[in-house]
Amino acid sequence: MADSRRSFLKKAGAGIVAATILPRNVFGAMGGNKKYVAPSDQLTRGIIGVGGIGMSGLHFVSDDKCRLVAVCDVDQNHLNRALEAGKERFGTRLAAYHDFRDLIHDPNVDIVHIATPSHWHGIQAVEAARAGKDIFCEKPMTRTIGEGQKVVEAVAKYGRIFRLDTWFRFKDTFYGLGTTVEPLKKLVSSGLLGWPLTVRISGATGFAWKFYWTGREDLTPQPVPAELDYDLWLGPAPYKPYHPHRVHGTFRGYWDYESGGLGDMGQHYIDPVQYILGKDDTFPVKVEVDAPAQHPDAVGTWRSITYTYDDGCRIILEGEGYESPGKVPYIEGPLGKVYKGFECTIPNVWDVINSLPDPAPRHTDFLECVRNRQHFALDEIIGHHSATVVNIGACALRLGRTLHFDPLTQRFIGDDAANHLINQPMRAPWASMI
Amino acid sequence: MKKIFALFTALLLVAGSLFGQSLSDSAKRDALKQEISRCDDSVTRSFLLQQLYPLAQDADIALYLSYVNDPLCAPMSIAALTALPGGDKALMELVRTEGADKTLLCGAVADRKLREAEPYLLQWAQKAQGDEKKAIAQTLGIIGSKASAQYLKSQSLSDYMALLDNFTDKEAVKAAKKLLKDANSGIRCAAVKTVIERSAPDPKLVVNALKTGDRPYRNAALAAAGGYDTDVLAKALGKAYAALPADARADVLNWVAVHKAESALPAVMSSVASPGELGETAIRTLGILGGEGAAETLVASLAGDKADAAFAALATFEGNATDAVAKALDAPVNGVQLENLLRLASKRRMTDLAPAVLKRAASGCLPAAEALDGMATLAQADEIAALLDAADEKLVDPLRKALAYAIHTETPEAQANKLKNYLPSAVHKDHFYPVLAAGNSDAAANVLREEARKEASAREALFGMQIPSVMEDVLSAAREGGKDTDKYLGRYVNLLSQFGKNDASKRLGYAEVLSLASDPAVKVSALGKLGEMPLMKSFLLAGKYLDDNAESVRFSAADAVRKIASKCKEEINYDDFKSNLEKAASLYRTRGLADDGYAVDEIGKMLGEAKPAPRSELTAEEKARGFEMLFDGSDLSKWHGDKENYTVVNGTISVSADGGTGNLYTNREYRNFVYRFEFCFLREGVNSGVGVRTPEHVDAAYHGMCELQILDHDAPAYAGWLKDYQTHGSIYGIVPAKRLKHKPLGEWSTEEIIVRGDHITVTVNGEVITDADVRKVTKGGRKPTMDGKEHPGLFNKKGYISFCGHGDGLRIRNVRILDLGE
Repeated sequence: MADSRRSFLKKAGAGIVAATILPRNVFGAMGGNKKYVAPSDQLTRGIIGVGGIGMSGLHFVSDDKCRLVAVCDVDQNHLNRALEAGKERFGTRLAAYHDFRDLIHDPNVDIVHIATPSHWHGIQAVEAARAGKDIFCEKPMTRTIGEGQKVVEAVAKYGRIFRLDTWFRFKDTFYGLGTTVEPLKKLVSSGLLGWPLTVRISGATGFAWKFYWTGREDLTPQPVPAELDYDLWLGPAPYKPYHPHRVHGTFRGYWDYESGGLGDMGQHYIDPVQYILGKDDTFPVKVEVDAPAQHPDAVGTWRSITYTYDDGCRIILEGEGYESPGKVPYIEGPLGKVYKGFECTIPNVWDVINSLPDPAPRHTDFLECVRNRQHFALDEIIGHHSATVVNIGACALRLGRTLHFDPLTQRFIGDDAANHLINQPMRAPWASMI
Repeated sequence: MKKIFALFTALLLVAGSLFGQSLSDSAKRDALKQEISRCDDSVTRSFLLQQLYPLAQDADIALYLSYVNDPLCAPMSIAALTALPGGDKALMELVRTEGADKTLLCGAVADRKLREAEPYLLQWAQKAQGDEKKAIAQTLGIIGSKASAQYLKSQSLSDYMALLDNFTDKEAVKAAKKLLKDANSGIRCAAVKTVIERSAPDPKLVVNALKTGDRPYRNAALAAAGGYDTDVLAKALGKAYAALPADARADVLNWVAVHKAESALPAVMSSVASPGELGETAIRTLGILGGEGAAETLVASLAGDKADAAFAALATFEGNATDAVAKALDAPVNGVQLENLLRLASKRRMTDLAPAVLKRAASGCLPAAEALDGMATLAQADEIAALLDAADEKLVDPLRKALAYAIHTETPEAQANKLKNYLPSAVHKDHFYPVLAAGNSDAAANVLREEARKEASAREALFGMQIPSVMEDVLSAAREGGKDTDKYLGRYVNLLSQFGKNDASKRLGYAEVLSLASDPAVKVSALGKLGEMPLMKSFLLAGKYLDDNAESVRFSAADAVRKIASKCKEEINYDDFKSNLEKAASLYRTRGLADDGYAVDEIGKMLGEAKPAPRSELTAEEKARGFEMLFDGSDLSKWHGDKENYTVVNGTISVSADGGTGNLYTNREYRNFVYRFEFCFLREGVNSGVGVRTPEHVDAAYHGMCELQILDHDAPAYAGWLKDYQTHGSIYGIVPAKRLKHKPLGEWSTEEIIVRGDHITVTVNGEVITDADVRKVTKGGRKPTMDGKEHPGLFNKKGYISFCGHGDGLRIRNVRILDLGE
């Protein structure tokens, strides 16, 4: 069967393929008590949102392991471009959708890749889980804390595999650290730095905050271009008159869709820190902001955001116009410090690090996880935790004050306005779709 | 419509300014409510209601209710009713009366779990279509009872699965059992989870699930057994294990690994030798479980086709693996195992095994030589050195690393000394130089410098070191010219960026690199570093390369000036600022990469904010009297001297941060004159002066007629020791001025100096602070001066007027002179 599917794919005209191949998720049901027959090792994937991220060389790929079969966008130009690219690069006619729900419910799609602006992530992930699809979701995971909780529930309920797409907790040089996070994880776990720890995510430690993701406060309404379904682009977001700066490459600068550089880079930078500090199952209890008052629509800059955990560990984000004076450590405990480039105050620290076992093994191959149904190293639960760190920071920024957070109830303490931001107004019909 | 949009924009600005102030929540709330009541278009109103939403209180329910039928405002209204404690009643009323968009109401009902809405929703469902129908089903799934079961079962199984949460366990299990083979994998998973989670714990349920061919289903079943006693379930799984298909066994092993279910160890062991995924999962799981025999089994697996999995397991293994590795190392099964054992011994720093590994290295085993880096100790250093000297090409590099590692715990001096001692008897000295270089100590550099006189390879090694003292060596080699110039310049840039003493010396270094380098890549790296120094002078330097022949250099220069312009706290002269940034912007425009648009926007913003400085002009009185403008803000054409450190910045003469000890002279010499200028201090303690009737390049205070002090004498640094004749306006060393109180930093003061014969008058901000005849004061030079020093120039008849820099922080503008002639 596996072979026939593969060879069939090669021979068949692409248009017919889309309607004929049986997706993986249908086969299990046929198995029953009989011996399981694998249809193929090949998985299929559809991308929602073929803008900058969806079309990037990292994601707009199709190979024997995972075949790209469908794309979806509310901008006809994006969609046409993706179809062209599909033809050119993979010799495939991709199924093209305007409404993401049609892609999710396309029986040919095993994995739904969510590459839309983050105000869509929650709704689309929940819809995909309900449809029995596995999910590859771009960061940041969700725009609100409430949406993240719904994603966690739905993925668990329907037994889905979820991956959030940032990766520094398990591979690649972690910006200013100059190494992967692994040696730092080992060092922290060894206790040699002492406890509690303070982490500084700052230009000074090699982590730049992208403040070009700020919104504009002077937008005058523009006519919506013919190729864009602006209403569907907005989806759950409140209606605001169209301006090209609100969408596509610059949407991150508006609170309705994301939270600027914090939203863009926050989970990239903070998720590995939650791992290093062993905070994957909890949240900070306090967030303090030092920032100019934020415009209600356009995300602005901030000088610093400081998170504190119940055990005294802290994460300090140092932003625009604010850097600790002098040479500051990336991570600092009562017994030692590690600076940019892994410069460490502990003599012969690498001897110590190298003599320790590597951190506990994790599943870091998403397609493998989809096949063997194991949690990915950055799954919906971990992703929700680090996204929430970002989101409580965004809440504090918008309200311009210190907030206290209860990790157990995932609610703010003694601040009604902050709690109102856990779920935010959504337009019809989307309010009911998550 | 246009009007509405205009209003919206205006309101955005109003709200922006509203939020720009730090108002209390209640003040913001009042202001927003007032704006909402005044507002007559729904786009703006919905925006204001969105802003009110976080601050809303029960008292605002009526306000929100009044907009619940406006499509743009309804989302905010329903969200507020959902978030407010008193909102449930209003929501139910809306449900009863169908008083708002049904999908919005559904969202609210689901969030608030308003069970009493069920009959209404069921009624709506009869006529609903499309999104509304979906919304109703999803909501019924969350709040519904058995009354909704029939409807949901026919409409949407995923919602039906959710509905089962509201059933009794027995009912839910019964219903879920019917969906265990549904076509949708998500439904099957949810169903089996419901069955297992809501039945009394029974390992058989899990075991039966494992017998199916549905992998998502099996794993959902295992996940659902979270409430089971791990040991009990592990035993049941162990018993069924052998009869399960291979990939179901892998599922079991993954479960064992997650739950660290030690009692399943026999099952794990039984699959270690299995091919493919099962065997790899067994090895991985064994690594996590540990336990007796685990290390030996994993070490044995290093010989086979699952060696990578075994290696990964041993890398994370928390127990003792050294004994097992040592034993296997004595008699490895095959080459694969030997290599893996060696890599592992090195990775896990098994220093006890170093002698055995060294023995293998001595017999030419490359992996053994490589493994020594990470496990060799001082005890093996001499032996490794001997091997290194005699090593063939293949082994040289690993043995260098091994030797470096063997001595790495010693002090840098001891390391250099130890290595130095190997040199006299070494046949291949060049085998040792890189080891010295890797030490990156001054001691090692000294050894290499000595060697470099005889050996070119020692010089190469020296130049590769990463320490400050090598900068000189590398730069002088680059200055010699020749084919390696660019290579050395590249290294110099690297060293300079790490070890340069201060910004000035770094900038001068990069300037030299840029002028000497011919390879664009070297220039690019220098410009990259320059871009990280947000200083006026690095801006000007980078700007010179915006027209370079090489495209990569031009763009690096553009990046540098843009970065510096955005971060530089020093003022940059407007004309330079503008011309460099405009050039950079036009470069970005021609290229059009993803971020180039941002760069152009950023530059546009910076240029929009910058303003050209106004020019100074003579007053009517000055014109009438015949004053000449010496500096009106545009250029220094009427001046000569140290124009490196006296530069024009936005209409002022700026004395810069580096250097700053030079002097700036008028082009002409003067005898008697009225000299007027304005000055300000940018930092505390600024020290400068006006040289009067002075020759060039001498200390005007002694060899000129005098130096009239410019000094921020209020700075705390001068408190207590400053002499009277050193305060601002004093004729330095000769006549004290009346002590004035300086204006705050950054504010401008006016000064007028009149020199007529031997008489000097200094007026600051309209107040005369010095008025003296130096001939009289010194009795024609016979009376010793206050500072007790010779002032040979005191009676000069003519000379230049100068500014005497003693450091940075001074700004001067609007310099005028009236030549009084003889």
